[in-house]
Amino acid sequence: MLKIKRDLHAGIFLFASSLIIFFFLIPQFVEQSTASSMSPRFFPKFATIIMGVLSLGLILRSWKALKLGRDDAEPADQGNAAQPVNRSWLSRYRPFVIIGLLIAYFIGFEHIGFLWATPVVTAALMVSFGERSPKVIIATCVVVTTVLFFLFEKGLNVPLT
Amino acid sequence: MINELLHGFSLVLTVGNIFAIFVGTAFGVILAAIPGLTGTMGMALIIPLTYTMSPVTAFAILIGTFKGCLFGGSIPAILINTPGTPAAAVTVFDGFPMARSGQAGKAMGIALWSSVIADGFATICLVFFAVALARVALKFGPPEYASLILFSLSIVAGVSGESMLKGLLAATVGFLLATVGLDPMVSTPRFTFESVHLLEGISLMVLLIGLFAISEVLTQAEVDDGEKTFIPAFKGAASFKDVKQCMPVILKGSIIGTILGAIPGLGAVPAAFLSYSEARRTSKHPEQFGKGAMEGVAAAESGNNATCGGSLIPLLALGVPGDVTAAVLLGAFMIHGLTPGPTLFTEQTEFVYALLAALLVAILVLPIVGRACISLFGFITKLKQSILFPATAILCALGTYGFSSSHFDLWVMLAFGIIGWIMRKYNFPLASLLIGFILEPIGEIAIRQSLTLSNGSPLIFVTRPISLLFLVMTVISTVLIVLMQKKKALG
Repeated sequence: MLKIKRDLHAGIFLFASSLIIFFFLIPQFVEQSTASSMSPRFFPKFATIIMGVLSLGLILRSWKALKLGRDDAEPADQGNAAQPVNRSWLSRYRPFVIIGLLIAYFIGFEHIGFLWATPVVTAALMVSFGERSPKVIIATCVVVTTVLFFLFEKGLNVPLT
Repeated sequence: MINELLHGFSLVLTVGNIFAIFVGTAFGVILAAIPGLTGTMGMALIIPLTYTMSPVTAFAILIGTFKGCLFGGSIPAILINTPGTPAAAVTVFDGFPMARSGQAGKAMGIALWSSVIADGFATICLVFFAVALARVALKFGPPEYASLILFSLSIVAGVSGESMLKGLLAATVGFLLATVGLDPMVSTPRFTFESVHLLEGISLMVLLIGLFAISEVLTQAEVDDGEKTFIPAFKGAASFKDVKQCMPVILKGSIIGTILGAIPGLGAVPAAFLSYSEARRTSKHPEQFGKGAMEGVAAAESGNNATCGGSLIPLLALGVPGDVTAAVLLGAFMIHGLTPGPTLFTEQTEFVYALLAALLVAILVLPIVGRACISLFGFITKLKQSILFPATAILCALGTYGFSSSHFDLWVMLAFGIIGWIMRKYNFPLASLLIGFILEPIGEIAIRQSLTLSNGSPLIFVTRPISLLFLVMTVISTVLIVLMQKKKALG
């Protein structure tokens, strides 16, 4: 039942998004032009209409399944990676910690530089993923920072500092 | 021709030139195995080093890099669910599930041999039929591109899994995301929100890294398995029997890759998609595709690697680069005082056949270098998740930054990482979004150019034979998909 509800929520979100894109974003942020036989708005509008129709289809399918009390609206995942199964309360929040650390890394990378930001964030990410051995953490941080620095800064001429 | 080719071999088969091919191939494989670093970048980095070399040695190293990059992208695609280059995006679909089931060695072996065979096929086509194939390829105008893209969109059905509705929705979102940036015909801004960073649109490489790699890191962060390894250790490599089993798929992919590579403007990514779609369509077990089918890896890799030889066909025969990497190679020709095109074959015969000989020698070098690199990157399977995922996240960030030297792209990568993570949670196929994103720009430009050519008349799509052929194939394909869905629904 949870899966059907998720489908319903996804359908509602996408349908609302298509309305916002069609009635607000396209008129505001896609300029019209008469220089071409087809307007620059044609393809965004076309995609948004299809998105709206398909998301309505998803809403109707989920709503029908919900009404009938069935849980077959959502078939098994086919294309994506394996879904996690063994989860603790801590693991539920871990992705948000990772996102926070990546945000901190991007800010640190831009403002204090690669050489300071990389070992600190690598260590924090390793602790978040459950690593507890200080030796492994220190060794990994040194290797990752050194290898990437020489590869990008010296080898590929990408300025990191 | 045989005499000229033998003379070309005599020029190429020196210690220095063979070493150059080895160095170029190894550099290409290792570079492409780092997410964010593409073949184009590899060639651009190598060109300045070739200024002082003889043209034959310079092109030996460049050809090696070109070929190495096309294969190298498959290594991270298989091992960490992150295509090293956009061309390896399709390899992820089956390569990564194979690795998760302990068949990483077999997946990389199949990828390598598919690459070698497809590359060999395309090179032989280049040697013997370059001029004829180039003339056919140039018959592809905007209407033919548009119909081909429409036909390619049927791939969405193949990667959508059981929920076609969600697959189509994801493809539509990808399609819409691809419209961000300047309009391709009149250069007016679309969804740029007055940001200069968005004027060139969303980078495919950034989207790929975010959607596949960062979302994988976030998904695996929900599992308490930090002490375990993520990919089981190798259980042997691909056997001759495995390669033989994949041979029909590899040959089909080679033909598709050579033809699409020869058509200017398409490149390796659509070739890999089309080859994969065709392999799935004709497979006896299409349900295994996307779950770790060996044929899926073979189709993707043969399709994208055959474009190397394919893209050189119009470049050498007509002076028209088939894709961005071939365009960089065109620059290298000019730097060395050579002008590709019909006159190259008459005025620089010795060099042309030496180049063709170098391409043939590189086919033999790729399996040697490829096998060494597979063993080298095999250490990834031994890493604990608590080391692998932090290192992957940092490497992806650096790869994204290295690709464009833009801090803005880091935020775009993270945004797509979060989108990909949510899509996985809600069971939306990531591959469909990618297909919509890749095909939209090519399709939009082709349709709009066609309508401009015909003064707005859509009849242009049905009055040209090649375009009509693709449209008929699209209709047949759609009818078959609908019939199969109905059959499945009826149980």
